[in-house]
Amino acid sequence: MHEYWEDRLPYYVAGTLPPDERSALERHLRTCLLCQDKLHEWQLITHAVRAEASSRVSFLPPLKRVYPSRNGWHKPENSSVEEHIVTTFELTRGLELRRNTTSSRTLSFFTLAAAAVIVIVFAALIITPGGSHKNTGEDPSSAGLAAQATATLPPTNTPLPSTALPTQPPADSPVSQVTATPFAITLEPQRYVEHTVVAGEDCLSIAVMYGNTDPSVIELIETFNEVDCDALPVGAKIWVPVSFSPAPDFATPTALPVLPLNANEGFLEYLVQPGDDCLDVLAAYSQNQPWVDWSLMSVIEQTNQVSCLYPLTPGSVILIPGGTSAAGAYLEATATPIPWPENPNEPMNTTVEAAPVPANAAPPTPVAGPVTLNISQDGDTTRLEGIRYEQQGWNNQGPTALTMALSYYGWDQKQDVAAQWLKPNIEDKSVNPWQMTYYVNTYTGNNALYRMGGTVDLLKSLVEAGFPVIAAVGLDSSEDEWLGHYQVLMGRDDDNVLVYDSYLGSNDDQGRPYADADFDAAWRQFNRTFIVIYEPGREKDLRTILGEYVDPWYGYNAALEQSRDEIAENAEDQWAWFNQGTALGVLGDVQEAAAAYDKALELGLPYRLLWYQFGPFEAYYQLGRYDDVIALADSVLDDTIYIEEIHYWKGMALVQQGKFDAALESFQTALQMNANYFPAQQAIQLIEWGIALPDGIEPLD
Amino acid sequence: MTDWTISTESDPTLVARLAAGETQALDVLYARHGLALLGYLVGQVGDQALAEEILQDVMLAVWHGAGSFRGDSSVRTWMLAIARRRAITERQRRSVDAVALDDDLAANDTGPLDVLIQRAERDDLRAALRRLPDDQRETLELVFYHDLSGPEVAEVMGISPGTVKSRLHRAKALLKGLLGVRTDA
Repeated sequence: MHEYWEDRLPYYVAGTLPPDERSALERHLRTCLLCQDKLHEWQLITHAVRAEASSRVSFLPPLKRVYPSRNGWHKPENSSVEEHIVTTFELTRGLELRRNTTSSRTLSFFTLAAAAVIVIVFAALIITPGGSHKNTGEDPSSAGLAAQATATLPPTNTPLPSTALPTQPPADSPVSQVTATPFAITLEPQRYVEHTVVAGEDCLSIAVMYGNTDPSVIELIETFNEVDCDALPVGAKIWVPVSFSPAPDFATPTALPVLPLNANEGFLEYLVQPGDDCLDVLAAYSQNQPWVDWSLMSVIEQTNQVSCLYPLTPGSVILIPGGTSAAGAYLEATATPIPWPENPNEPMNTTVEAAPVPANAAPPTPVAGPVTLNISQDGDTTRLEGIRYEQQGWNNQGPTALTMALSYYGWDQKQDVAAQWLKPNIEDKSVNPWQMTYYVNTYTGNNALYRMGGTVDLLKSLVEAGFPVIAAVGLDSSEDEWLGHYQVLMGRDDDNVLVYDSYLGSNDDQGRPYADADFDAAWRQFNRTFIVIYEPGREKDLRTILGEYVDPWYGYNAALEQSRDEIAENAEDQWAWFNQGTALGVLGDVQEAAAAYDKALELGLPYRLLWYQFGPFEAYYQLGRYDDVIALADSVLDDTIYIEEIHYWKGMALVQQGKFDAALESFQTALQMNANYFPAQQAIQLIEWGIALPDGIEPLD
Repeated sequence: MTDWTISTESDPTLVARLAAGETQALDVLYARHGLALLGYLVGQVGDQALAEEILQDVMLAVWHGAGSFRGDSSVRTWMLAIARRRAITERQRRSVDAVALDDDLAANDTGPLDVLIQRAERDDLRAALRRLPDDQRETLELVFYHDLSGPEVAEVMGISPGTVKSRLHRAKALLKGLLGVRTDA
């Protein structure tokens, strides 16, 4: 019997043992010292195998679209391209985007050059300990127009359209500033596209129609119009701001109808030039836009039964399906359409009259899934049932916790799927709550939010109402010393929270019990930050339970109060000082935040804390303590180079010191650590455009 | 009906959609499994560019073969099996030799591995992994990196489940041997 279990150890470590066998093996392990040794061996090997395998590749090249004529001619579904557009539309959903309150930012990163006015955000996506500042009680129309010290493009770089645009929005519509992040997008003042809401539309369809994939636009639309985008009144006028952003399609100036690529629209002809490939064909067709809608590629290839992997034959004619995509540029094409061939083997050279562009098409509508409530009650114990326990791979606590929590809603992927996006580099030590939230909102069909300054009672209420919660905690294991960690709350009783811990186990699927106070002690090391995963259909339930915490600012203030109470009790409480720095930083008091961080670092904290929390970098940065930022970054980098945020903050400080080459190197290293870390992508872009400038230096004309 | 929760669809559903001609399902499968497959292929052929090329072929084969996928195995297993066949063909074409290693190096499975991990850094363990015979290293990777069950590994590699078991244990013993733990140590 012992051998039977020993043979299963590798699969137990890999997380592939069926649940019943896993539980039985765990029982055997408790009493079998030999198996415990062998388990440890397999764990070491697993870590090495995963590190070795994942170090080979960190970047997945784009899938080339060469799928011609399988089993003869295949006519693409009209809907497939449209679906592709929708699923690649990076909409960030959730409470963050539903609130109508506005906020602004007092912190600056780069210098403002032009009279830029409205600053849009990526902030909902950017980390908590960042430095946003709530701007309440001010006239939002003036607050939003206050010049902010942020990056901007010189006018010559501005791809803004010359199209005459409607007037400004109604006078009573607040033109508000919506938080910010290190990188802001500027909007030209008072340039909007007017759109009349039609039946069945929501903000998503408006944003798609407008031709961009930037989720912040939805927030802006909501803020501008003070509308509930879930229930837009038919006939209402919506003001869609005109802007530009690093996403080139965002520059599209006019409201355009969403049109799926439709075979019935006919085709446009393109004469292949020497050296052309499919990309050239598309680029030519898209009016020299510097981007390409890859969803069109497969349609073109299928239509023509060619392989775009290879050079196309010069002189041949490529047929490009008519219609347009979410990217409006395709509307511009006016070549002669050719009808869709009934028989693909027939030459497609019949010229017909150009078909007019259809006036409109039904926009895609989000579909809420069924509500999941799978809760068991036993005495005072409540458990969420159906969460699949997984043991974490190397450095993989964040993706594993997320995967476990998502499994409550039927997500059947393993931890490596989330890890591919969250931490493409296996050595990456740090996956932040905002990254996890963003991942859920973008890729899973469910929603997530995160808040700071929670209470154990709140978490218990959430679990009791059927919401899996992920808590960021400190883990003081004797083997590895202090580490940042995530636990999935899957149950509670009157005195304990019950967690699935990807590192420590599931306690036979019953959940590991932690007394409330013990849990709180580990949790406060991350400022009582928590992530709630929820189905879109349960947003109202979640609001009810969150109460004041619906507003993240309430959580920041709660965290500040908690830290003050703790410091009053023990002035040498380094965790409380650090938390206070974080809360103050988010609330905009950078000076005090930096002082609190100074105190915390002076009192001493585990060196790994700065692998996960980056508030000190931002606070010092805001105060112009660039040498301190760089010194602190270097001290962390002495221990590990695998944290993209550290490279990022070092790069930001170097920019301020005018050391652009070194900054660029830091940002590029950040991307080597995590190719999906978009703040670094944007920073590089700003440097390459020549618009990342130290504060106080005017850009050249 | 547009379904924007598509990315949560199961792998078999995606393959069925692929079989119905929906190329977009291929994107989802690629996003889901591409990186793991690429890692596997680089391990098999030792060359990133070649692996990327083979991966494109694999995806093409997935597209062509979607209609014949029976669901007897998981989609990941199916794709890995395709990748493996393509990699072998490519290796044969290019005459890439498998790593030869003397199994006598293997230690009896008695000394604890963590003892030598104290002596040898984890990097050494990774280096030792690279010295394993290809079939053993591949077995370890399929189990621990690609998360396949024993029967699934057997299916991908075309061997019996018993052979999977013995390869795992031989691999562990050989790692110990490579790291210096000998039976007489």
